[in-house]
Amino acid sequence: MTMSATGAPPYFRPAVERALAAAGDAELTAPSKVSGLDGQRNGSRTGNAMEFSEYREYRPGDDLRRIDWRVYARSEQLMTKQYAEEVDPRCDIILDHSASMATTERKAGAAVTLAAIFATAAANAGFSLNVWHAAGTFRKDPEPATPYLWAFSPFDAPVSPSANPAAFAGPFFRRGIRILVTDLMGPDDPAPVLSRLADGAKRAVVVMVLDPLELEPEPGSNVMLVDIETGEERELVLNEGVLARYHERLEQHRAMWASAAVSRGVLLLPLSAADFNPVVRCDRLYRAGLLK
Amino acid sequence: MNDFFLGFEHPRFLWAALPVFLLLLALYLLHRRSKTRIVSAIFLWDRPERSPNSGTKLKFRFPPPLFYLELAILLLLTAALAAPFLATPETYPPLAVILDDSMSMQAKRPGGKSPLEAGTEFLRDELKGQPDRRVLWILAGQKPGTVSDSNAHEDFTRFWTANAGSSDLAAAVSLARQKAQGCEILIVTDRKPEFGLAPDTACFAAGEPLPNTAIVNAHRSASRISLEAANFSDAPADAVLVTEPGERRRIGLAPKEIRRIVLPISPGHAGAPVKIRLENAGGNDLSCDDEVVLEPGDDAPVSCRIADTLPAAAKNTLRLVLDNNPDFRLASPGETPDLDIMSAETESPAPVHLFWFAVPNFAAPPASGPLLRENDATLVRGLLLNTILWKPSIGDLPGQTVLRLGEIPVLSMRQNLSRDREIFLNLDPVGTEDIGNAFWPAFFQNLARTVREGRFGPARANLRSGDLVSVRLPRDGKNVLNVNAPDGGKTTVHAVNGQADFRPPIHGVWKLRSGKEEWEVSVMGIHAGESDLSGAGAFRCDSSGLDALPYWSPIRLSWVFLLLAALLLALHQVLVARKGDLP
Repeated sequence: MTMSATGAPPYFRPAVERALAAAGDAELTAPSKVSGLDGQRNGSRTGNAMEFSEYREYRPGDDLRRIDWRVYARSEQLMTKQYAEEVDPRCDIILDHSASMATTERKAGAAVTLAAIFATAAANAGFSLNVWHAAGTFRKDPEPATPYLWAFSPFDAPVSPSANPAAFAGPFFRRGIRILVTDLMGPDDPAPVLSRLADGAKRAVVVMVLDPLELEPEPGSNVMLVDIETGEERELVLNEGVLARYHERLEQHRAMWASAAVSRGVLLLPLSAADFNPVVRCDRLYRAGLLK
Repeated sequence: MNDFFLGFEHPRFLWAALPVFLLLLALYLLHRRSKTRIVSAIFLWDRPERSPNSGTKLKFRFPPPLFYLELAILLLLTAALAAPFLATPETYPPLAVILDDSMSMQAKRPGGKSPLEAGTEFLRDELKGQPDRRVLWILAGQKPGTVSDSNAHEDFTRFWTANAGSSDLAAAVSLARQKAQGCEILIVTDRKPEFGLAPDTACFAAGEPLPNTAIVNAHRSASRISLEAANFSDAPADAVLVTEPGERRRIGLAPKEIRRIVLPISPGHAGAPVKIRLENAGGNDLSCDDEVVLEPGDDAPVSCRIADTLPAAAKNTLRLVLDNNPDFRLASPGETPDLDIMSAETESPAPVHLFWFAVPNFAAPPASGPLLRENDATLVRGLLLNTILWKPSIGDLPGQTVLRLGEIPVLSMRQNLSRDREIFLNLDPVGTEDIGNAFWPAFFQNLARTVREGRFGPARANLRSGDLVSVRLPRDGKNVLNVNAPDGGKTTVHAVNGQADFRPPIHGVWKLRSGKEEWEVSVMGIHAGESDLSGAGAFRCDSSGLDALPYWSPIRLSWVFLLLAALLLALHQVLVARKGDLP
């Protein structure tokens, strides 16, 4: 029997159902450049871990240090040693619980769906998995591989993780994959949170999910804008000029995060909530190499 | 080139702009009302403009451009409805305002508004929109007259007091047409005019039929007061007649009854004014006709002085006659007499001089006739001329002969340069029939009447409102009459040839002074026709506007306004089509 989280908002269960249906047998892709120093189980792919697997003809680009010169001496053929990929893949999924994630129910549902897809894919791939709920403080979910059972609370935290990087100090897996599902809609410096995310990780991904109304706001004659987190108000006429300047600032904001992410080896993946709620389209996740 | 001005033939249609403005204001406020929108990152949005001093929350938001366009279209359509035109002041037709000045305009219920007050408000509102138009102000009393030829700025309340005994509106309309050809006419009254109104004539009447009891006639003689009390309502009236000094008398008046009442004056109050008030709680809607003050003086005895130079026989005869005549009394020492009886032409302060030429031993014999009347002077009215034996004393008299015996003038009159009346009597008392003849009582009565007409002071002490007060000034008054009105107002009237005339605008007791002399005249607001308020009623009739006037040919601009509105409407449609959801 499937249990659901108590106290979860109404969009939670449908979002998880969509995620499970969309994820299917998809697996979270492990990074190809693994050092092979960690882990307890043999992977199905060859890599540069410690256990020898087989010989293979040299191909341009192979590591010269793996050429078995003794075999060359015997057979005059350049053969490289292949090792079984020995990994114990680990994954931390961090879900931003700040209030801005729920400016629309579509956005909130999409964020839950994305986190659940990653969790399901990680479970499918045999990852050790942690799911973190970033609601001001970090809270580790006791049932990370079963999204239905997540101790999910509504998106109502007054700050995003980037506003409080000091609290972003959960005991993440070392040398694992870290995926932060957030909207990055905060005026904060991206460096601290990105550094914390990338530090010690084999792969760090920031999934930036925005609602279409945030990407393309509708014009309006008189609008009282209210920030969902700070409560700050601005009364504006949303004419073409104001909207153009909004787009400009949004692009600058995304570019700032993208630049900071590149410099720290973090993959920034901007997504639209419309692609995950109510219909889920995972093609961008596959194209980005996150799922296989 | 003449200066053109913009006017409106139907300015009241401009009121239509009011709901338009209200509608647009509502639209603006609706437009201005903010809709709340929750956002995730307020810092990405513009920061609203703030003043350098900052902190203010008062913001003005300009409506979208289409709003102004729609406003302009609506205003143009409203203006076109009011029929705008261009004209010069010379071609713009004047307005003749006829003000009903009759007393009934003052009638009102307790706490209500009189036609006078309602008409004043109406006029101020009506003329507000045409302040520079030429306005001819005509006061319609018993005899209509133009009181001002100015404009709408005129303070017409200074002359419109509604105290006349009647109003001749038809004559006032004729006067208006005569004074300002092609003018528009506006009548302000308290009832529908009895004559038909031409298209160029508008009328505003704010009266209503009211029950009323009133004093409609009052007269005072030396010994009694005669008055008439009327009940103009359809119900019996239980009124109280209060006399001060005097008594309270309850009188019941039947519907539409006019009752004559005689009140005696006690000898002790013969020289004092008497106030009479008709009290009726249920029907006193016109206050001015409920109270009258009757001054003594109309029939006051003539004071006379007999000169010592008269022959003894004449003096004895005169004293005998005057002592027994209530119309005469001997003047006290130091008093300026009304009549100075002298034997020769000498200076006298009295306004009437009787020069009795009583020279004895004149050659002519006494004769019984024929005594002939030369003209219809007051002095010789009703005299029995064929019964008296008259002996002239001289052969001729100065002045205009009014009575002669054969060829010899025996009684003549004239007015000297000081407008004093001089009477010349050619009579030898020795040879003339004694005073027992019926001729003499009538003669002395006529003499008293003549002296009363000529003595100093007001010709009448009791008048009705609208009457002319005529005052003969004594010579020490320097031809100036100081007038104190009942409401405390003061004015000065300059006399012409010793005569000062003025028409009191309000009723009440007026105090007059000239030199050392002081008088009081009572102006009574009593007129039966005005007290009967059953015919009053509300009535409103607009003129056909300026189009009805024969000489009115302005440059009409309605089509220009309509054309502009159509052009703006077309532009509006283009903008809407181009911009779609223009914010």
